[in-house]
Amino acid sequence: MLRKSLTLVVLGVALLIVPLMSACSSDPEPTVVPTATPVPAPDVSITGAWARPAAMIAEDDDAMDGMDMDDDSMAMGDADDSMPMKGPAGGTGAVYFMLTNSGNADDTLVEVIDIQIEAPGDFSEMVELHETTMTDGVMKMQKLDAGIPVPAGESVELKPGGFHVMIMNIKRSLVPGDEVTLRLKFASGDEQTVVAEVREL
Amino acid sequence: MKLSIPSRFIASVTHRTLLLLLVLVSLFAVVSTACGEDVYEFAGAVSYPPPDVQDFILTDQNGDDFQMSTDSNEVAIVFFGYTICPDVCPTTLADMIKAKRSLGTDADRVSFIWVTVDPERDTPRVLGQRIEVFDPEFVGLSGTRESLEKVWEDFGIVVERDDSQGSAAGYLVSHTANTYLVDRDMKNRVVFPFGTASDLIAADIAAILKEQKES
Repeated sequence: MLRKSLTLVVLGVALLIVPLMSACSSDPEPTVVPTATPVPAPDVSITGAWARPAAMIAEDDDAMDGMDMDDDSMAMGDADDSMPMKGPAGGTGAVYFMLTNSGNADDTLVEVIDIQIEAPGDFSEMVELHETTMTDGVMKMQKLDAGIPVPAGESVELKPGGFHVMIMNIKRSLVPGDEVTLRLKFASGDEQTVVAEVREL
Repeated sequence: MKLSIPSRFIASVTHRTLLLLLVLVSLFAVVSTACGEDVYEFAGAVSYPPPDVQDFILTDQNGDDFQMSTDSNEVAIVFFGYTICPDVCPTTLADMIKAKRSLGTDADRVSFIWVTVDPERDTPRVLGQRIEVFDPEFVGLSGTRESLEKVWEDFGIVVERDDSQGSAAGYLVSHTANTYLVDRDMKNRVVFPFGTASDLIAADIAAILKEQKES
């Protein structure tokens, strides 16, 4: 963000200096300074990040056919070998925030590349972008392989019953006051860190 | 063969219909004036007559049998979900906790019951761990798929296992996200669609509690 605006300033100054210099050397007439047309670029900001309290869930040998720990869709890291193949892995949580693109090019939130909480140790290595849709009162969840588009000049809100970051296999319960730090990756190559506060119900 | 209806007959039918309408309208006017402001308008959807809820026995989060008809509370709030579900189910749970808070002491007369739509993964122990974080007073029900299917069907809950998403969560479960208010006579009185404001749910619960007290 800062680097991007710095680049723009340097570019602007350079464009300003070149015609000025040429004006001094040869032409005494004032030259119209060309306004720099900015290179189309997205500029996404993230605000209002929050998460729900969530329960860590210990393995239950009675449970059957749980999470596929060897699934290649797992976002980060390798499956812990000590983790059983059956039974619910950990427990799940969701993070919500507002994405605002004040740039002049579209962007897409493609991936959450890291997720941490303040307490030491692994928090979760499984995180995906999901969308909930409702048809005739039936709730369906969809994994968003193409990410969440954030068109130029628009805002997209991740909120209950819609887009959300799904955290799986959490290794510690999330309680109000906890802070979840996410590293987000966009299609433009932009990467941003956002801190989501766990809110009281 | 073409049937011809005498126009006099049509006229008389129209006349009779009009008369009937007039009587109904005036009757309605009289009744609504008589009832005045006592008529409570529910925020959730109501149907008359309210459908009966079939009795069932499932297993609660402590591993004990829970029989719907022997629940000692005056009103039961029943909703459906599963623990892997990170978005809609916790939202529903949060809304019910808020509704419970709005009820104040009346909340002691209400059971909040979460019925799983994922019995293979939601064992009583797993449900218990989730409920502990939200509200330990809630009842979390699991059981065999057969016993649960009967309950889902009775409430009109659509449950579909979805293996197609390629999520690390394994399979996901699509399900009806309504919440139901069952009165002490085992009637399914009010249906709250997902997203109904918790204070409106609380108001509807309070109205049923009041009605039952008066009757």
